[in-house]
Amino acid sequence: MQKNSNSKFSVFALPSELLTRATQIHTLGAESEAKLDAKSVENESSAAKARKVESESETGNGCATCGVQFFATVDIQRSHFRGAWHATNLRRRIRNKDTLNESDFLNLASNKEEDSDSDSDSNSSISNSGDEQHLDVNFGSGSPFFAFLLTANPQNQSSDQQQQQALYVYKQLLYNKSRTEYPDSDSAILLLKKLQTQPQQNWILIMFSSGHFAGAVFEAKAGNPVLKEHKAFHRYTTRRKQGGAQNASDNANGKAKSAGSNLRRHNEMMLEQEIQSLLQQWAPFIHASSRIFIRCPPRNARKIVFFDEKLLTSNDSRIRGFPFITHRPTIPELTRAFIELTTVTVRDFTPPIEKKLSQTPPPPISSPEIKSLNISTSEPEQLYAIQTLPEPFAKLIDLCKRGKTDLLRAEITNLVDINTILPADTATLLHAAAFAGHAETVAYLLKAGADPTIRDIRQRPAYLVADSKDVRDAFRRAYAEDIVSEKWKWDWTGGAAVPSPLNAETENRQREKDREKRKKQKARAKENADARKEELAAARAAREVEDAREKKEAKEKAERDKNASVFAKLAKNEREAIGMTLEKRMQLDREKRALAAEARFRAQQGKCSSCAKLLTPTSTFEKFQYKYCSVECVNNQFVLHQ
Amino acid sequence: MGSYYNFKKVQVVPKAMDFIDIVLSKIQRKTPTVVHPNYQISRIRQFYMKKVKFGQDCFDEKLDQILGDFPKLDEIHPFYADLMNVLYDRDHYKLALGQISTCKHLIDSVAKDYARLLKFGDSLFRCKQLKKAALGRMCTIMKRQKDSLAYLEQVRQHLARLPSIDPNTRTLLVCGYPNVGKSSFMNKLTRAEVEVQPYAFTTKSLFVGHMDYKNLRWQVIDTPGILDHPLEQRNTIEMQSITALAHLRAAVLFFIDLSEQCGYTVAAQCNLFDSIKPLFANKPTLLVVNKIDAMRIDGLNETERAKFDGIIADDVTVCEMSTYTDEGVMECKKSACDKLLASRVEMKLKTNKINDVLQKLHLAEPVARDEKDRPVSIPENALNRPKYDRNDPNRRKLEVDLEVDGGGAGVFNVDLKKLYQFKNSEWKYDKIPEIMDGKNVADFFDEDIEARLDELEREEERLEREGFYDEEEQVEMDDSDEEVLMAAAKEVEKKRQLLIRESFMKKSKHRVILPQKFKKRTASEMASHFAERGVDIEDRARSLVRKRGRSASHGPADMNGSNAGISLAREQSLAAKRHKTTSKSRDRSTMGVKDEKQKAVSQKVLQFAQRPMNMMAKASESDRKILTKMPKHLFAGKRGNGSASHR
Amino acid sequence: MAVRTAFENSNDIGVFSRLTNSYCLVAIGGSENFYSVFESELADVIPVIHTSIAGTRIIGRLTVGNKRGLLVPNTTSDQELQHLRNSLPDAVRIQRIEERLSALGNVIACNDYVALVHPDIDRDTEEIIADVLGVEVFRQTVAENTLVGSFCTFSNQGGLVHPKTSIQDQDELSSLLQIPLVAGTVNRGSDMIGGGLVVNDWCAFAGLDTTSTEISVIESIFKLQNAQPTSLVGGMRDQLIDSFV
Repeated sequence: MQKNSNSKFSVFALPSELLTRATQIHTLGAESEAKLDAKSVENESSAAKARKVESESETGNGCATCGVQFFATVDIQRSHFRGAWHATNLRRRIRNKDTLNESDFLNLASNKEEDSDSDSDSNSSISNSGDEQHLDVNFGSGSPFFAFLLTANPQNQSSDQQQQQALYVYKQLLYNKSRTEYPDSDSAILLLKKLQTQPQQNWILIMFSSGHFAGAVFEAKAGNPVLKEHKAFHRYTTRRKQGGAQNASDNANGKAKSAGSNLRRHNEMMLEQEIQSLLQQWAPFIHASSRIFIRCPPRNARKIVFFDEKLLTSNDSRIRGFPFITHRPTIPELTRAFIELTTVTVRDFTPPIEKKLSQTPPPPISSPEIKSLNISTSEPEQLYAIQTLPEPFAKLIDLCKRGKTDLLRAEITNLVDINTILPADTATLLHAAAFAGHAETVAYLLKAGADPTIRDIRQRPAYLVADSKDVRDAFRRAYAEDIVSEKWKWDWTGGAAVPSPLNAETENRQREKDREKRKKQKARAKENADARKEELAAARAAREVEDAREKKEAKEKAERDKNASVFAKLAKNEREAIGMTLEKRMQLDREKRALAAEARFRAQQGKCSSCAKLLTPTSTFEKFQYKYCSVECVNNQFVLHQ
Repeated sequence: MGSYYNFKKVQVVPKAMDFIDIVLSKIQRKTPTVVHPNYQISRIRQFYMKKVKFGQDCFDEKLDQILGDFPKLDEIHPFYADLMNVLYDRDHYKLALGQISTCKHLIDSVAKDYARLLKFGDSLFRCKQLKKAALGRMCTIMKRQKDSLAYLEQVRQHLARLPSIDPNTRTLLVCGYPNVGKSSFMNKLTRAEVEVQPYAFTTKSLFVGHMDYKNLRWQVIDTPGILDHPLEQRNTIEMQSITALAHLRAAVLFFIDLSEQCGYTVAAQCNLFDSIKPLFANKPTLLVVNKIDAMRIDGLNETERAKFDGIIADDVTVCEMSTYTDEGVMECKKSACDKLLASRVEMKLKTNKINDVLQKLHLAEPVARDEKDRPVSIPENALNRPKYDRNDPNRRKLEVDLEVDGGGAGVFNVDLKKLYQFKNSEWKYDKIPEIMDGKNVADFFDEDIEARLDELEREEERLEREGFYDEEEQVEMDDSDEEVLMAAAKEVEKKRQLLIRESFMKKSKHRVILPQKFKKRTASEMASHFAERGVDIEDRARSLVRKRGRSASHGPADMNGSNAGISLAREQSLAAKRHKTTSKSRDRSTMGVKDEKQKAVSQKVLQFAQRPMNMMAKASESDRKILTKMPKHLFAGKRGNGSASHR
Repeated sequence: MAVRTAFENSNDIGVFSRLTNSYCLVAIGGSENFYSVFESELADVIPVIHTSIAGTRIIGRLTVGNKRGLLVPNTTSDQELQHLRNSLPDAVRIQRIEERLSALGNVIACNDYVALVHPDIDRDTEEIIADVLGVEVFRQTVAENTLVGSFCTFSNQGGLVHPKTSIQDQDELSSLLQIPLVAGTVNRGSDMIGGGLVVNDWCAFAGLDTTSTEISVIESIFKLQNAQPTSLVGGMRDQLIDSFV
């Protein structure tokens, strides 16, 4: 407390000292808006006056597009025509949308830049589309917080207190959105005090977005959030990769006939029924609860939440919106939201300088740990402070990221606290080292007393950030050591999410086991290889036998070929006859003649001259005086035809 | 605007006999002519039935046309209906059309009867007789319509010559006794050129002329003169005027000739005005006193004056004019037009249609925003320049004139550079390259190159003035230095020549010369070589020869203070580098194989696999290239036996 | 002085020409008749320049300008740009604009002091318009139409807007532009005012089909030949009513 000016408390357990000090309320922005309203009213009245003065016939001094009847001067009119409001309305009119009046436009502008596709249901896990924001309207466009100004601390008189401190409470905690007038300090403080003293009560948180539903009944008390009832559903209702609920798409483009669309349509219906039956079951809780926080697109609100008049109506005074960005509806998200809502911060009061500046909600208080009340000394700082890193940390983070343990050791000795929360993406030095994958550094940091239970902006302790087994082992070893030494006694398995300790003994055992396993594997592999080799050998032998047989057959065939027909031989002889002796030639001639005579005889008998087959009239080939049964036979006897 | 009645499109109505001829010849031409007794009877019946039906259709078509073309008196504007009644006698007209209609029905029924009879015709002859009888009866019916057709033809001819009067537009209606100057007035206003003669009833029918006034088109109708008798006694010519007066929503200009040159007394004219006064109700009326060159109102005697004053009611405007001297004609026209326009506008403002055009009648004028003046920017000579006159011999030569001189459209090329505005007009036709050295000149456009050049030149001048370039100021070289330098240069040149000659000698030997870069040199050789040239290379050579190790920048990894001085950024960059493996060129052919032997085996396998591809002269499996699509030897020459692939 | 003319049998002369107080651009057509109409009226006062934009003849729809400057779309070639630069007086600034809505003549309407632009036009373009043309820029529609350049035409003296512009819109626009406005038509009832009519402070050209009533409206609203816009509600009122209804 002495060093850090920021501290957090549960809204149910505020120190009475703080409550007594809280005297005055500052609505942050809402006030200035109120002033603005007053001014515009003034403007209007002056305009009305001017209108009275000027003749009624002047019609050109307004803006038909934006529905402004009359501008006081032509200059105001011209600046209006150049302004964003007019431009937006023009664009809307071109697209056949209704034009916005000024307050609507300002609302829209403050919540978000005019979104072009506010019709389509956002599919992203972070849904803060314009439509939903309408439910979360928080007293105009100002900050979502009330700041209860704290009078100077009597005990702290000595320390130089340049800055006034304030207690930041979500407006939605105290007032319903429908409330339009601005609360006076006393009533707000009364409400805040009432929260401290109230008997056991329940708060209900309900989120619904793109097919995801989560609802929970929380006990409204300090400490770890206790869920009395909780339920989360998910059904496939939004089109993957394209976004947009199926019914939105149906309304816009007509009913799609695809299988997927039918599925989604059915799922939408089923989801609706499930949610309705669940809420009916919860009826006693709903009736008894003192706050109901709802996040639901207004399009669906009637079906999902306000389906039964007896159960819940939209103008119920208990109904609130979530005044901050919520992620995909899950039970953890509900828990986070509950913690976020019930956390009250005390920090330096910075009055909104301008209207615009106040619109950015001050700190995104994301640490969920109510437990951190105990160790609040090192809890999150303001966003502004974080953005400018404290001097030594820049270097330390760098060292952690690069795994320079030795340098880190040198640096860290003169540092007060290594558990300081750092910018959103790294959270602590431990996170940085674990994420970068430096086991040695992690081990050192843990030895030096780094708290492994601190969570980063995404609610992960350092162990879950670690990227390699080495680093995780480092955590587990530190766990084991801590068990032995009992020095830090972190909540290892809970907050730090380290599953089990890892001491040298178990490690060795593990290593032994691994080695054995590997050996076995190798042996098995070898066996396999041998078997394969044998198989191959057998196959080769079989193939050889086969080959031998084939070769033999081939040889026989060649022999057969050699004893080819006489005629072939004759023909060959014919060619050779040129270089023959006389007797040989005569012998050849004789042979030829015999052959011819035989052929002729056969032909006369009505047989094939070559193969002596009986001829049929359809299969007769004639050449010279011979007759054949087939073309082959003709070719065989070519000797005779020469 | 108003609807136009155009009766010129009515088709000619043929005489009865012509009618019959037309239809019969059409039947002959358009239906089959060949029929044979041996045909099936059904076919014969059909043949003749078709003739009868076709005949009926022809008559129907023609008669329908007549009935459709002629305007129906109940449907047209009452003005025209009445006019036609006057000209052609409504009863007669209706009767004629009615008869034509009846005739059509009779023909239809005849055709129907005979078609039924033809169904029972048992021979060609009988069928033919039935057809003949049918067509004969149709023709007889038609012949009986001779008079109606003749009458309708006359009506058609007359209708076509009627002036096309738009009954709804702005109209000035000129009326009065014959010969009072109506047609002269009409001729003065419009270019209708109505015949003007010095006798009564020159104008025997309605005439229309048009004129412009106030950017609008006005219709002026000249009517035949009217005499003062009861309606029943009026003749056709007068009745036309009366019809126009009765039905046209126009400004009525009643002409009076006070000089009585027309042959009718003032009293008679005033009586006429009184008697047709009911027709002027709700119409702007002007009493036009014509021929004031001869007699003005002032010149009337007492009784006439009394009579004249008697007819001037409150809503009648009196105009004096003379078509002879043109005095007061335009004033008369203006007052008539204005009066008519005012009355029309008054009427129209009462209708609903005005709401649709209300925004067009609105002049939006701004509320002054501030005192700031937003002057118009009209160059001085814009307003006082002489108007372009096509007939002025000294007129400006326009581009279109140049075009005509240059060969007309399509041939003439317009000179785009003529109007270029340069400091020096000679620059106009300078060629500017669009692309220079492969670069777009426009990309290198430098706006202030002139200014910078100027600046540069000024600086140069200044330097010159300051004597920067003067000879004396130059650093003089020492004589001795120069000598040494020259000597060295000479030495260098000498050595160079020597080297050249040496290399030439080497080259002249006929042998393969190892390229310079493949020649092996030892470090010592090189050192001596350099030493020869007077360069001590000892240290450098050693550093080159030594095997390259880790560079100094690869500091030792330990961080124990040795690197403590290194800046953080450098640390970072070094750390980043450490993660990368140092790249080392490796022989990729041995990658993935155990040793040389295995590599050789794999190569062999590769080559074997490549063999079929090689045999097909393919580079790889994917090579599907067909080098010659139609090899000559496969496609040329005669083809007898066998297929082309065997050639 | 309102002159009737046609570009190669087309009445949409605003498509083929761009007229301002310091220059006039005319498309290069098949013959010089169209050009010479402008030339005879304007040539001794301001430069009348033949040009094409991006090789097309629809220069009136692609460009926009006033006496101070000229904006051309990014499709304009370097040669065309150079030709324009050489032909226009040095006082006129030329700027090529990278704009998605590249038919600048359709999406921008301006005189020497004020410009109306299409509501979706780029913010950069808006700034360039303000800089180069030296005008105040307003995003507006004319009679619910976003193509302000097509549906209205105005000079420093007055303006003609789409015939369906409501009276209130006319008054608003008039208050913006600080000039008298009237709703009307050209080319015998065409509502494409920008297409059928080009005007500057002393001269107007309309399509050949423009009726005499339309011409008289044009002459009086643009104060040509000493006519006064007040005559539209005064002397000419009857005539207008009679011809409209």
